[in-house]
Formats: sequence, C-alpha cells, structure tokens
Amino acid sequence: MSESIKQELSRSFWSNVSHRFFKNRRGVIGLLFVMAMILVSIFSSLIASDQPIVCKYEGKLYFPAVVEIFQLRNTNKHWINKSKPFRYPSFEAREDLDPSAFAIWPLIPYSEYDQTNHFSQPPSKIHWLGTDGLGRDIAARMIHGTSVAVQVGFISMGIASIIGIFLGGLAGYYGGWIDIIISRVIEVVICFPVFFLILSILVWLDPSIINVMIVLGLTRWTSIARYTRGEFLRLKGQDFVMAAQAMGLSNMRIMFKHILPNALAPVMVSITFGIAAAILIESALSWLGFGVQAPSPSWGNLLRTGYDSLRDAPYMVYPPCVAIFMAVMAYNLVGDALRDAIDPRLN
Amino acid sequence: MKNVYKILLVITLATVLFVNGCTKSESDKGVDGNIDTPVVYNPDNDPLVNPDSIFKKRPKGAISEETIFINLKSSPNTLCPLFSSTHYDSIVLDQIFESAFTIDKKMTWIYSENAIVSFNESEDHTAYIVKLRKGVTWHDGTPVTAHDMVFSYDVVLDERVPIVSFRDEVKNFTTCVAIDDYTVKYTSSGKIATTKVSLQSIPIIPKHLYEKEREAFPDLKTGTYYNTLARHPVGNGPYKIVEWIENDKIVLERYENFVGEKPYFKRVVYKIIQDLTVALLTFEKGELDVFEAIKPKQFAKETNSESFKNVGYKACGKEWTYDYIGWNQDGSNPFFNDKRVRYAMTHALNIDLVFDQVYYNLGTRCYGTYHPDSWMFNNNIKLLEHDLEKSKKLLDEALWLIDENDGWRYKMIDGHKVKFDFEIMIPQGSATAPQIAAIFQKTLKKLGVELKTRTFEWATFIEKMLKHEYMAQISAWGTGSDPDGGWNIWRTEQYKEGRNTGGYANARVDELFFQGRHEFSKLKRAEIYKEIQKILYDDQPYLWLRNRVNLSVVNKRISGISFSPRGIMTFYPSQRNWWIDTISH
Amino acid sequence: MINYIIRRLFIAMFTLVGITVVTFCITRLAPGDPAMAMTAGVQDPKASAAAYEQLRERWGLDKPIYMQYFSWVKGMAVLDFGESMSSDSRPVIDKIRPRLWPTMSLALLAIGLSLSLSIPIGIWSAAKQNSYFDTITSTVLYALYSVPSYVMAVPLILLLGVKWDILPFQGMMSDNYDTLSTMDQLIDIVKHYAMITFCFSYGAWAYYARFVRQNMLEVVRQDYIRTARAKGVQEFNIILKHAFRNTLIPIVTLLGLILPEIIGGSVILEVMFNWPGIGRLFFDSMMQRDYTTIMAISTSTAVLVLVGTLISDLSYVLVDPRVSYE
Repeated sequence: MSESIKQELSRSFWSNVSHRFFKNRRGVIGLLFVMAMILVSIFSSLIASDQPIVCKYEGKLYFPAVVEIFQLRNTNKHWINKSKPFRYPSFEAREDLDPSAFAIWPLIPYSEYDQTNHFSQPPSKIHWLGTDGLGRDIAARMIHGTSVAVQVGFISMGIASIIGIFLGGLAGYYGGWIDIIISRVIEVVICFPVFFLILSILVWLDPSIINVMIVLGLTRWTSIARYTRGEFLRLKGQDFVMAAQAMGLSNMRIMFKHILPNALAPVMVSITFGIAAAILIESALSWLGFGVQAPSPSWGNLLRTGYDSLRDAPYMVYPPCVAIFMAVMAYNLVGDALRDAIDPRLN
Repeated sequence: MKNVYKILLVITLATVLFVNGCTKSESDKGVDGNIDTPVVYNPDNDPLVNPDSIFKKRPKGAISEETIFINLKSSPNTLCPLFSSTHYDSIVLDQIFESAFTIDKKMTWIYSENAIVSFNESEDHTAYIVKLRKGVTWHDGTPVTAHDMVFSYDVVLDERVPIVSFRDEVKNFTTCVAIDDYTVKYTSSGKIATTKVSLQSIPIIPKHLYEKEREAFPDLKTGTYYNTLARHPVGNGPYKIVEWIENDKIVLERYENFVGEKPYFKRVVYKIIQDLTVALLTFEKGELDVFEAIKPKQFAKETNSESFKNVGYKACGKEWTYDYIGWNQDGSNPFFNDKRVRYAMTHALNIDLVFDQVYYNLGTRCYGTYHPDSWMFNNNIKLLEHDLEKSKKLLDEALWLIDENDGWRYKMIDGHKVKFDFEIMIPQGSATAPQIAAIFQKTLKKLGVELKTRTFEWATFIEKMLKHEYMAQISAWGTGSDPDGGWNIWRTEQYKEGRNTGGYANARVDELFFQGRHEFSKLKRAEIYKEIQKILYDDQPYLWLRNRVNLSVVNKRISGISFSPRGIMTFYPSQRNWWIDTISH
Repeated sequence: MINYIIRRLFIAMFTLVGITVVTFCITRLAPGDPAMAMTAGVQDPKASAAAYEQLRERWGLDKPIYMQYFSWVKGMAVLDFGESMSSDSRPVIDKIRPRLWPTMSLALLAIGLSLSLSIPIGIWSAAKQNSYFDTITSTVLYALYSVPSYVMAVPLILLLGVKWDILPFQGMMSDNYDTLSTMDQLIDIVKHYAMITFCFSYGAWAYYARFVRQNMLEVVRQDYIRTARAKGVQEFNIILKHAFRNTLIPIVTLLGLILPEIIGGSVILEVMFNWPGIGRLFFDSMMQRDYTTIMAISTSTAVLVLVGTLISDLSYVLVDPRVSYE
C-alpha cells in the first residue's frame, strides 16, 4: 500500500523540466556542445600549449601545462607559479628540453602567442588549421579563444536576466507608480549610447572582454524587462493569482514562485537568443576593433583577421566562422528545448 | 531527426564549396604535410610593379572626352581652401583651384604658370612681387585679379576666421597690397628663410563671392551661403564641380575656358569607398582607374589573381613619411630616459623580420628624420642593426638585471625593485602596428623584458600623446617640403606647446633649428639640418622603423603617373597629367 | 484612456529630458573632444595650439558643462540642432537629412519582410508542429540566424557581385543613373537594395518566426480555442481570428524596441556596401567626438523610442481586453 502511494508522488516542477528536456534530442546535442565548449575553455592549456603536460627535466617530473590551467593567459603576474626553468620567459620548451627525455605534449604543441617561422601556411600536418601572418598556429588560437565565447554569453545575459526579470516583474505586478517609474528607467536605458560606454570603459578601465560584457549586461536587460512586465500584466488578473492573494501569501512569493514560472516561457526565448546574440555582438565589436584586443585571440577578432586575409589566405576565415555558427546554433537549440520543457501545456 | 543533420551538412558543404570557388587562394606553395620555405614578397621581383607604360608622359595638348574614376578612402570635409585640413580635401581642391605657388614632384617650391607670369624676390628678402597672368577667370566668368589675392591674405590673418593650420606661416608676411589689378606685393621681415615657402600656404579665394555676407558671418563659415560655397566651390582651376553626392562620389568637369594647359580627361569622378577590400574588388571589376593608398598586404598578396592581372598595374613610389616607435623620456617612466635602454630596444627589434612579414619589403630602412632623396639628408649615418647580444649588454650596463627567481629584468630604484614591464600604445586601424608589437614582444621576452600592447581609437590616442600619458607609441610623421617643419617636434619648449610629446631635450638641436630658420643660403642650411639628423639618430628618441612607399594600383589604360615624396596626387601637376595612351593600346 | 495618454505624454517629456542629460554627460566621458580630434592631425606638426583654443571657444567647450547643456536645450527649443563639431561645420540637419531615408528604408523593408515571411511560417509551423516543414524551416532559419550579417555579405558580394556580376554592391544607384529610363531607374534601385536588405534582415526572420510559432503553440492550447473548435468554428478562422490576435502582444512589444539596435547595428553593413546611412554617420561622429551630431541623432532616436513604447503599451489594451490602465 505505502509503495504505490510513494510512486504516485509527483515530481517537483524543475525535475519535470529536466526530465522533459533530456528527452529532446536536439536540446541534448546543443547542451553537449555547450558543455564541450566550457570544458575546452577550462582545460585549453592541456589541448594547446608551448610547454608539455608532464615531462622529466634533470631527473624530476614537472607539470607546466597543468599549472597553466590556473593562470590567466596574457599577463605575467600569477598567484601560482610554474617551477623554475619553465617560468623563465626565455625558456623555450620545444628547443631547450632534451628530446629523448620523457614528455607528454598537448595535442597542439603551440600556444596562441607562439610565433613560428611558418608564416601564412595553409592547413597541414604540423599546423592543423594553418598559421597566420606571424606564424601563429590558428588551431591554438581558436582553442584559447573559446573561453571568450563561453564567458561572453553567460556574463552579459546573466546580469541582464537578473535585473530584467526582477524589475519587469515588479513593474507588471504592482502597476501604478512603480510601473511608471520602472518603465521610464527602461526607456532611458534603451536610449543609452551603449557604444560610447564601451569606448569609455576600454579607455578608463582594463580593456578586458569581461568589462565589456558587464556593460552589455547592464544595458541589455530592457527587452527582458518589457517581456516580463507584459507577461506579469497578463497573468496578474488570473484566478490562481487571486487565490494566492486570498490565501495571504506575500507578494514576493506570489511573484517569484507562482507567476514567474508561468511567465518564463516567452522570456526564455529572449534570454537564449540573448546569449547567442552576445557571441554575435562580440564578433561585431571585434570587427570594428573594440572587442578583445590583439594579440589575445577571440573568435570575433580571428574572424576579422580572416576577412582581411580573405583574398590571400581564405583558410583563416573558416574556423572562426564555423565555430561561431555552431556555438550560436547550440545555444539556440538548448534554449528551444528548455523552453519546450518548461511549458507544460505544450505536450 | 537524422534528416535535419543531413540537410545541415549539405548546406554547410555547399557554402564552403561556393566560397572556396570564389576565393582562390593566392598563396603560392604546396601543402601536403611539409612546410616549404615561405616565399617572401619583394616588389623588386614583381613584374606588375612600375611598368614603363604607366609613366609615359602626356603629349602636349593631348585632350579627350574620357572620364577617369579615382578612389577616395574618405569623404572630403570641405571644399573651401581656407578650411581644408585633410589629404582628401587637397586631392579634390587641387583640381578646382589653381594655387599661385605650390610644389612640384621634387618638392621644390614653384609658381604655377597658369596663374603667375613672373615672381620677383628682393635681395634682402623683404619684398616679393608677383605678376598675375591676365585672362584667368573664376568658374563663373569673373576675372582673377590681384584684389582676390590681397583679400585672401586678409582673410587668412583675420582672427575671426577659424583657420586650423597655416595661419602662423602666413604671419611671416607683414603686408600684402595690390599695386595694380594684376600685381601684388608682399613684404616680410626678411629674416626668416622659410618665408618664400609660406607663400604656397595662402589659398586664393574669389573676393566677389566671399565678401558678400562677411558682415553677417565674419567667420566665412556659418550660414547657408557660405556652407553652399564650401560644398559647391567656385574656383580658378581646370575643373569645375558638377555635383557632390554625400558619401558617394564627387563629379568634376573640365572648365573649357581655362586659360592654362587643359587636362586630358573631360570628367573626373571621385568615388568614396571606405572599405579597402571592397574598393579593390571594385577596381578589379574595372570601375576604378586609380586607387591610391592601398594597404601593403593588399599590394603584396591580393593583387596576383587573374582578375587583377587583366585590369591593373601596381605603382610603388618613395614617400617622405616614416613609421617609428616613440619613447616617452620625460621621466614619467623609469625606462626610456636612459640612452642605453633606447639603444638596447633598437638592437632588440628584428627589423628584417618586420620588413619581410609585416611590410612585405614595401619601404626602405630609415636613417632618421630626413629621406635619402632630400637635400638635407646626412649620408654618414650608420644604421643600428638587430643584435641581441648588444641589447643584453646594454641592459645589464643600465642595471636592468635578470632576476634569478622569475627570469625577468629588474632594477633597484630608490630601494624598490622595479620590473622592466612597459606598455606600447597603438592607434586603432593601423594595419602594421599590432604585428610589429607582437614581433617585438616575442624578442623582448627572450631578453626578459615584458611588453604589453594597448590599442586606442584615434581621438583618445591623440589626447594621450598630447598629455604625455604613455610609455611608448607607434605612429608616423610626414616630412614637409621644408625641414623647418621639425621645429614643432624636436625643440625642448615644444613639450608644452607642440608635438614634442616624448620630452626630448637637446640644447644643441634647439640652437640648430633656430639657425636653420634664419639662414638663407641653401648650402649652409643643408649642413645645419644634416647635423640635426645625426644628433637625433645618435640620441634615438625614436626607434625609426621604415621609410614608407606610396602604394597605388592603376588601371592598365592610364599613363602619365609620376611619383613625388607625397604620393602620386598632391603635388603639381600630378593628376592633371594623367592620360590614356590610345596610340600603343 | 485619454487621461492615460495625456499623462504618458507629460511624463514622456521628463523622460526625454533625463535621456538627453544622460547622453550629454556620457558622450563627454570619453577622452578627447572634437577640437582635439580636428587639430591633432598627427602627420602635420603645424596645427597650432591657438587653433585648438579657437575651436574650443567656437563650440563652447570651454564653458562649464551645465551651461553647455542649457545652450543646447535653447537651440533644441527652436529645433536648431546646431552645427557639426567637425571639419565641415555644416548644420547638423543638413548632415542628417540625406541619410535618414537610406537607413529608414532598410529598416522598414527589413521589418516588413521579416513579418510577412515569419508570420505565415510561424503559424504554419505551429499548426503542423514537428512535421518536416516545421523541422526544416526552423533548422534553416536557425542556421541563417547563426551567421553574422557581415559574414554573409562576403560570399554574396564575391559571388553575386564579382563572379557572376548580377547585382551591384556599391551605393544606392549606378553611376549612369541619370541616363536611364524611369523603368530602368526603378530596376537599378531595386538591384542596389537587394543584397544589403537581405543581409540586414535575414537574422530577424528566424527570431520572429520562432517567436510567432512559440506564441501560437501556447495560445492554441488554451481553453477558449478548444471551445471554439467544439463550437464548430473552422480551423482557419480559429487560427487567424482567435489565436493570432493573442500573439500580437509580444510582436508589438518587439517593434517598439528595434530602433536603437538598427541604428547601431547597421554600421558594418553600411561601410561594406557603401550605403549612405545614418548608422555610419553616428559611428563616425562618435569617433570624431562630434557632440552636436551625436546629440541630434540620439535625441531623435529617443523621441521615436518613446513614441514606440507608448504605442506598444496602448496596443496591449487594444489587443487584450483583460489589460487595462485605470
């Protein structure tokens, strides 16, 4: 008796969602791609680096590429340092290590800043995606550019979603003066000269892509807010809300535990397209020269370099193009599947 | 579901094949697994560069009904000679206005026979008498007279008119009067050698048109009337303006009442195309005849296709412009006020690699401020070469020592350990600077010096330069026709007032510039400026990178091109001598 | 309702003031100013400090910022946008006016094309959910959306413009436009619009189609639709009259917000196709710190955005009787 009762207990809302999500094959493929991107960006130095993953030097074992995982890529101030010979800027592992000694190299034995003598080479056995005008391996640059692609969407849309859903929900639910004020704030932020802010940020602060994404997040929440507001407006007149109010539940609880899950569906479209759009925005900024600054690679600035070399080295344009394409598709597939999973009425 | 991926695959493959089909790779080496030695571009080995046909001189009086299409990378700002400030303004203005005094292709000061009959300079250099040619008219038919020249002089010195760059030069002339309708007399103090040259900076504008609303708008800029005049100028040159379509094109037509030598082409169309990749495509379609200031990379790598060879030739001429890395030695950073460090930097840069891979050998080694072709060039200067051992020694001597712990160089300053870690400022849009910085970064790393790059867009870059808020920067200077132009860059007091942004200070150089400005003998002036060049090279306030070359692509049908230190267009008569050689075609 | 509109208009004035103050201050945040941008032609060492000061004075840049703002407002009150703070010093109106239509026409075409394509596709996909049509169209549209517009432009220009030479890729009309017959002139203009309009708009198709599909799917499962079906109303009528009306809200929301994105987003395409539009003017003005032009374009955009949000808010009421503003 008790067992059959146990089996009839319904799952929670979110476990239902994930159950439905994983049944959607396209969504799963998209999610796998996103996870792969995240893994590549974390362990990029194990895939492409100019120093080995593990090697024997003068009798002792060293793990330089592993240490690189914990270091920032284009600076030389670190909180954790490699061991002695490997940390010297004049040390070149490929030449200075004894070739007969034991060493396991990453798949691509070049870092993204490594300039070889192989200038502007098309793809070959040594450089799988070819090299650029300064002899840098393109595959290495693509690998290390992945972290930008990963951070770009999540940071900006993360910030935008939090602000947008919160403010939009407040405006839609309470109406009245709160709605008026928040809507006006939305209008002011829509008209912000975002590009100018980005320009200024790039000058006054550290020109990292993270700062740019924070600025984008702080200015892109408006459309999410307006959708949320629209949905809350529509839903607040419904019976379940009135019931919850009659039951004496606090407004916050009603808004975020009851209304929000129902309002999420159209907002999710906006959010996932937003993440995908963030990658496209980064490439547009890099195209104009305002994204990730040289010599650090990002898919966006690799795309621009590829375009500038289109006539004489067309192989340079395909990797970033394909990568951007697949990342954007992947985010869209995930968003689609997620949204289909959230809305219980779609089955 | 599987069908979806099949479809995707097909679409991707199709796109890849299509794009591949239209962008045949222009690199000329094999790819199967082994790396061949890279083929380095050198314009001397390129048969398309500087073929004889493009230089063939125009026969006297040759004229036609043809139209020529020329590319402008950016729209001119104004076509009023008073306010012109950019290269693109000058290109078009040179056709519409006939300057009385100008420079020829050797950068020599000359007067134009289409405007002037004679020129007389007094012995003591205090009086200059100019006799105008009779019969010259403005495009509306009014004759050009001495009163126009006097008016122009008055206007340039009028403080109410916001003139940007040449007012100081014109102030060298104390008065300007019309002796009769066709004679003008200028007077000056007689002490400054560059006075005569300043004559070319006074534009001639039509008095009868510009004085009309001077009461209401003394700045000659505000108001509909003057705005229209700046967009549809009335000039005295061989071409008059037909139309100026915003950001699209400017069309000029030959002025048939022009008294002097008429140019060959009946119409000139300047097309304004900002994106250089697209401009080259337009050229290959045959819709552009002359495309000046093409990127070095395009010149070397993107002009070897069949479609290019069918239509065009390449022109590469020396230019009196140099690229450099400038050090800030005013003491705000601990590195570059030490001459040994600056020498170490120059020895550290692998300049041959830069020439091969960044400049594509388009350009020549730079010996400092003056160009080897100029009269003030000092040919006793020995170039500093790439030598890592020398760099190491110099850095050690300057007490920047390699630290045992992390391999970077440090120096003890006031009890603190300071790392040799500097930042170089790059202007946005530079085709070559980021790559030079990357190459430099690699070598400096081997020396234990850390180099970081930072790109700024133009307005910010300039502000930082003027406020001395930088450690090192990459940019370029053009040498004017007279070396006195360097006064503004090198004299000590110009740190506050002028372009001496790096805080260079040398009393002897200050003295020499002063002498050069007041010395009238060309021979003696040459000695003065040669000494300046030597001192400057010895002090290495800049790391001189290269002397530029002017790169253009020219349609096969065009002839009459000649080079000047300023390119193929902004000297006299340049564009007017271009023609189509129908005889040998 | 009328009260609501009047109240909104009144408040909009304040909002507009707020927007202009914010924009005014932010533009001056970036280093440099128009006078510096003009006088510091790096290759010409002759431009003097005196010229710099004179320009600053001419444009009032030496006055404190609140005074500059007030002079600007005084000008705006009589719709005088001032003179451009750049080398050509033309009245800002003259610079903006010829470039409005090129960008606006692109925007209108893009919106029109997007709506007219995505609404039928979206409706059909929702009606036949998970059919081949649904899967194929959504995949193709997603694929299109995932390619940045300027990346799409390149193979188009190379193929259609250069290799096969079917379409022009420069400017709005050919050089020989004046010599063509009226019919040919029309064709010429259409040809010039073709590539850039496609690049400009295809990204939105996926977005809108997905949107419509999603909303339709949701709406179609509502009870009142089931009721209508039970009552025997034809499927076609159900979709068009009942379901579709309810998806209008989000679409209408969308339209009101597009404007700033269009102006910002059109720069790259306008440069590549040499299109004389406002996006490029805006970008160049920012680079030159041409404050007056920047303020003129930003303020006009702001006005349009405010009008847009007002209209979309009002449409909520019209479209959904449950929403009211009392």
